[in-house]
Amino acid sequence: MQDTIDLVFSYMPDLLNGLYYTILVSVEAIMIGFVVGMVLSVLRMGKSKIIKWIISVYISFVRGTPIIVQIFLIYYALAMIGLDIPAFQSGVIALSLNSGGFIAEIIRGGLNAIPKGQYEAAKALGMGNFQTLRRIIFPQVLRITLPQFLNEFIAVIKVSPLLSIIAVVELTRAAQRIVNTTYISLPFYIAIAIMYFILNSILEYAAKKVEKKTLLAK
Amino acid sequence: MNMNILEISLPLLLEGLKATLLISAMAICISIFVGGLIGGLYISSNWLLHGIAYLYIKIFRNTPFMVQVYLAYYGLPALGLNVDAYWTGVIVLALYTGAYVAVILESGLRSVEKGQYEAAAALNIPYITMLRRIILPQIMGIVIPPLTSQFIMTVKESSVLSIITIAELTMMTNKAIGITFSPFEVYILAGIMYWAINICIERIAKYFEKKAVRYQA
Repeated sequence: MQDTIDLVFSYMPDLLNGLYYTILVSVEAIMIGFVVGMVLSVLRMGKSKIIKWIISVYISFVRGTPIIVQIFLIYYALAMIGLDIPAFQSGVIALSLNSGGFIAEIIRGGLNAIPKGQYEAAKALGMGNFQTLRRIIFPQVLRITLPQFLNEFIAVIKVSPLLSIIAVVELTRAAQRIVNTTYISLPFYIAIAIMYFILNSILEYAAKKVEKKTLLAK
Repeated sequence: MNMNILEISLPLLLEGLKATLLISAMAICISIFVGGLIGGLYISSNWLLHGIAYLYIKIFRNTPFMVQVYLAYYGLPALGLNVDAYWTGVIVLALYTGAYVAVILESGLRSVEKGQYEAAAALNIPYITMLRRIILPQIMGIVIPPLTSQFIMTVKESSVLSIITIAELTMMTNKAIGITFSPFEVYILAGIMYWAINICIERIAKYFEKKAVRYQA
């Protein structure tokens, strides 16, 4: 038992490096995903029926297919159009396009919570559409939906191990590499499970705290 | 798309689709029992039972599904249990979904006023009858929408089982790619199949939801 624990700890630098990449990939994915989600929500508010239809199909596809399939699709699609970019970037793109779809839905929920009167009031005050969104609507939406963003962040961290299948060296891949050299599997998988657990528990706690605060602010 | 690709990959994908449907259906059925059990323990006033349910939910919700699959795949043999990959996959998927189902059912059970449980007990209605005739009809409308998105999640997560060599849709997709060498097209096909399953689940759930909400106050 003691030997096993020592063994795991002797590989700790590799695991921590993997953890760093897990966090990096997730942070980048959620940030780009946020931009994607924002753009989708703003476009969806427009009048064009075709754009609305395209966006709803996009969101339905992203939410209706497994993330593995999306990761592979992006990975091969980028290669097909002749872009030779590393697996890491390809993984970030796949995850952010995925979470963009989910974030668009989160923002939609937030937008529904804003009374229509506010748009009319802004119009009456002579504010343009974009100005209304930027200065009146989105600041409120972001505050309402902040806990859900944190939950989405947890969701991104939980799907990031799937990037190991396209050889992105995040936490799970780091563990797999060690397993392949030491031929000992279980202790390392337990170790990374604990690491994921701690990371997600911290974020979950933060989401709960923020949720309480936003409820109070209402 | 080249007809050849379709000719080769479609039979393989359909075989995988069948396996994915079977695995997901089994996992969903088991997960309802698991979720009911854990959800029931969670609302129990006994701190030990509550603690067990709490721990179960925390562990399964806060670790990635892929890591759980690896842990079960390598862990069960280490414990002396020789379960084959297929059943390991089904069980882990069911236990994982069960944790989410437990939370959904628990919030549903909580939404019914305490007085109703007490009234049922006062009228000497057996516990099962109370659940079946009084509690469940009321919470159905509340729990069906989140359960639907959870079951769609289950179908999607079943793709992860390809890493432990279960021949479901994603695994068969990779097999088809090995023959046709056109990953993009075959993955699009697989994506459409998953999409179709999930749209069907959504539609079926809508039907049940409509039936269920009539009991709601």
